[in-house]
Amino acid sequence: MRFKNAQQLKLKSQTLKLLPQKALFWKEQKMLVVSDVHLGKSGHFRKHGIAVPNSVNESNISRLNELVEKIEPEKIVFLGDLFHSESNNEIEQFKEWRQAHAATEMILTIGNHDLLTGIEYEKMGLNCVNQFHASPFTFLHDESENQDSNSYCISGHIHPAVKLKGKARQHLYVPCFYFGKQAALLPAFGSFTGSYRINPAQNESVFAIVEQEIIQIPVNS
Amino acid sequence: MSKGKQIIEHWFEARGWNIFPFQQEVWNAFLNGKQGLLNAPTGSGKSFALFMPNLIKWIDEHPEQFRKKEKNGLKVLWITPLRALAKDIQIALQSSVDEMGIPWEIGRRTGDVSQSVKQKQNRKMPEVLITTPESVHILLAQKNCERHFKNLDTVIVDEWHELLGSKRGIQTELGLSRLKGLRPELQVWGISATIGNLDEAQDVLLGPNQKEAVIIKANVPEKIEAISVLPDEMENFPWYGHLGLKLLPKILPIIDESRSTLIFTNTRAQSEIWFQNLLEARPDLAGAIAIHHGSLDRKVRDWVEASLHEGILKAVVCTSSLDLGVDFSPVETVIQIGSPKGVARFMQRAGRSGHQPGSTSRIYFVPTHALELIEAAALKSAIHSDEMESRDPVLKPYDVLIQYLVTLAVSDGFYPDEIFTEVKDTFAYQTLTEREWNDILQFITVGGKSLSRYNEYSKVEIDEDGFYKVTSRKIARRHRMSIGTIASDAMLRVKYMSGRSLGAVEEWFIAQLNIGDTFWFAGRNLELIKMKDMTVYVRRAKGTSSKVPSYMGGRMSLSSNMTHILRKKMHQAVSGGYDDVELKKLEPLFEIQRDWSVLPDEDQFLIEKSFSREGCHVFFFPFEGRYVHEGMSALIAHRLSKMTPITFSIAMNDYGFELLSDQDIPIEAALENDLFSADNLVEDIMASINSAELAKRRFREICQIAGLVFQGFPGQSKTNKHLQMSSSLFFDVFMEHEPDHLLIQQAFDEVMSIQLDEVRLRKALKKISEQTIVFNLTERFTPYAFPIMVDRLREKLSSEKLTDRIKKMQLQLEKHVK
Repeated sequence: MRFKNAQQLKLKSQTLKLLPQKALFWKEQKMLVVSDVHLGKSGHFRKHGIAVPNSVNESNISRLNELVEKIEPEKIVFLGDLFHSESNNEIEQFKEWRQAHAATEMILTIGNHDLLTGIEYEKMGLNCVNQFHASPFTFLHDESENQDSNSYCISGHIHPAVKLKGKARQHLYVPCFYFGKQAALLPAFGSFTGSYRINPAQNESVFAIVEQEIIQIPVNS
Repeated sequence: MSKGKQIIEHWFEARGWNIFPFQQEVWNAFLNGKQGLLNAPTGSGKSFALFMPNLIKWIDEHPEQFRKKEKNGLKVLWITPLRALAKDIQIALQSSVDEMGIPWEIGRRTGDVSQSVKQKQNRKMPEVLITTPESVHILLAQKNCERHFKNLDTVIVDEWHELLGSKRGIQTELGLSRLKGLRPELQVWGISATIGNLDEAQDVLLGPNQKEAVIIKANVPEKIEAISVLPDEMENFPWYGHLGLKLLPKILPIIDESRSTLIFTNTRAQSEIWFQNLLEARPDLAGAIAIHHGSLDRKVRDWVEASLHEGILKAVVCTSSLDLGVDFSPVETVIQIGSPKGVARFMQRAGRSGHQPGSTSRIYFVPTHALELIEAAALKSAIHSDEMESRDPVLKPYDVLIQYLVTLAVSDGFYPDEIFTEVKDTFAYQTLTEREWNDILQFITVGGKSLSRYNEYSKVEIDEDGFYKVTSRKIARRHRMSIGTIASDAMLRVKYMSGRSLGAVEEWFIAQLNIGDTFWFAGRNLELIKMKDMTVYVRRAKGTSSKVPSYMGGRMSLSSNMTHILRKKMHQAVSGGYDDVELKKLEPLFEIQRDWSVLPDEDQFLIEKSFSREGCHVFFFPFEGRYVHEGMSALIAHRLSKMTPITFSIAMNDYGFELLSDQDIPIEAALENDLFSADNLVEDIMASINSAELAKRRFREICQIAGLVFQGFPGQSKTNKHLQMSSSLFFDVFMEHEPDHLLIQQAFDEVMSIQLDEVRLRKALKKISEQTIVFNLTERFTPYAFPIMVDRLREKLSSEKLTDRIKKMQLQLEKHVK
């Protein structure tokens, strides 16, 4: 029951599990991939005169913790925007959590909100890179900055969502995983984020995350 | 007769004016030490009715010295809702004292008065200060503010009916409570137009524990003539719509025949579209017509108002922005486009015309769709009766009280016991409990439970004596900037490249545009050039096909007074009484309704069900106004959704509401049970998803008033887009972690009491229980149903599992328009 409600996907002969917790698990590598956690966003808002209780971050960290303890990955790749902005309390909480999982390798592909210096990330035990290659995939924050067009690219950054319509003028936005021909997009892990509507084409796959379930959305255009 | 009275009467005589009996009555009551409310319309001499007794008193107190004594301190505080009115009153009062040789200074302190004038006032207050409720609170937030009020004798609240039903009214009540605390002998008077609840208006102004008070009515007869603009052919007149452009050719001659005309529309978008279409229809009017609405730059609006005053404009297309304000004597005619939604607003607008002595106010009503003709008939009978809407006072809003307490703490600080007594003496907070009071004190001192860890929400400190005070200069500065109860959206300034400002538009509207796109604003076709620092730079564009910014707030509800008269008119129609020309016009439409379904009478409640490609539609027709329908539709949808997992899309107008679903709606079975019962009303509404959505919307304003979000300093150029969602974020967070938070409770209370108008909703349900339900399966959408069916702005409610819904849905791709 480690992967309750997960959706399995074969891609480039590899097994990927799409988790309803808005993360991806690469079975062969025992690698967990998490994108756009946005820790510390509440602190950022507070600094600008908007109060948000700290518990938002606590729930992000505790969700992360729960997931990691359940599936016990050997390696975790954060696809950027781990921290929302400059140094703050939430970083301290993260450091504590990192120490509690000292045996797990953790990699951060730098995102636009990750403003600490590389040394600071290294200090908290994060291996900090622009892109991370693990054949056949390349992991990075923002797909548009991919330098390597030969390998399949898995990225985050845009917080993908699709619009669905039904009879009787119903429509809904739902966050999703997106798998194109050359690249995939992961949903944002953080619970405190907006989303961007994508328009998938034929032969591409979209998996919506709905109430702890992953539902494949047929694409026919 | 006292010397004071002699001098005043002499002055009236010298001006060739008669003293009206009501003015005499007010003077006598005032001089006998009474407080009260004067019920008088604009332009009736109401200002002098209340100002003169102050002068009489002054002269009689200083019979030898009244022409010599200067620097007497602030004696009369004159509160008005509109700063545009302040200037006129200032001029009128100043010239009266000047002519009598009394060395009183009449000052003005509103948002648009310069800093240097305000500083001069801080050193020496004028004898009379004309100001707004907000500015009173800003004065109360000053250090050592008590010194300003040590000679204060009188407070006059002008246009009290405008403040009464809003949080600005609460602000006025709280300000008065403090002033009475400082000056126990203070005399308070209000001036109000005719409203349905004058007695209550007096209680709210003077507090529930008032001394003897009087209501004095001016009884100035208002002569109003209302004329409906009718379509020639009903066949071509639309069943739905809200713009009313179809009848534009018919109003051109009205404009031509009149010296100057005000054209009232219900929304800013509508005013832009009408202005544009008027110009297209009559290019020769270019330069002679103008537009006026709340988003336009102050200078543009000032220019329009001044030009109206001078009579150089033939017509002005406007919104409620010109409901109030100074008189424009050249205006001979008023045109109302679309339903004014209430009798009082219709009469107020009518009253903007015909200020020449002895002339009649003339107002033309232009319906925007067929059924509005019933409203036209209803309005015409209403103005000849005394049926006026009430303005219901707001009760116990925590947010305004929180702001007020921080204001006092920012000034010289306060002892809670003393202020609690004063606050309990106001009408709004008479039922405030100690527990609520303590929660509020806790909120301003430690930020409440969720926020207690953050220093920035511990605004107020308590010293050893239990004295509450703000010591941080930063908090004090921020607070002074945010005093007020009118919440605003993030607005972007619209400017020409030369720097000339045109006004402001909502950020979300501009977000839909690209550089090079054109849009109509301020009556001009503009091209978007660039955006920088919360400013949109534009230039004039050619062509006419452009977007028009639409704004929130265009969906007012019919007042209960209006719905009442409306139903009477419909009864007339059912019984074949087509005396009104408007109803006569509608006869063919009524026949279709009768043919396809039923033309419901007063004692019938009509429900229609029909099927289309979209699914199953059920229409309900209570004729109770949009707000009541909002609550009732959520209630009915929720009760139906408890019977079976189902998803609804809900639409409504002032006449009825529609539930639409992709599956058959089991309305027949539901009608067997008690679908319209008022039992468990609050629980059922709160359980419907909409209540949380509605509460979230109300929470935005509450957050701003209570000071949880800070709007930023003026001129601060940073785009705060990533902070915009903040109040809804707060809402989610409080709902999750502290659902019993005071401000969350307030948001839900406001949904019930203000938005859904629980009292009206209960009455409406009771009425339905006394009516016969007429249920009809219709093949086509009837004239009553059609206008609701086409409405695209819809609420949602679902009891289906989200996953089940999604499995039935399809991907929708964005259309790429290039």
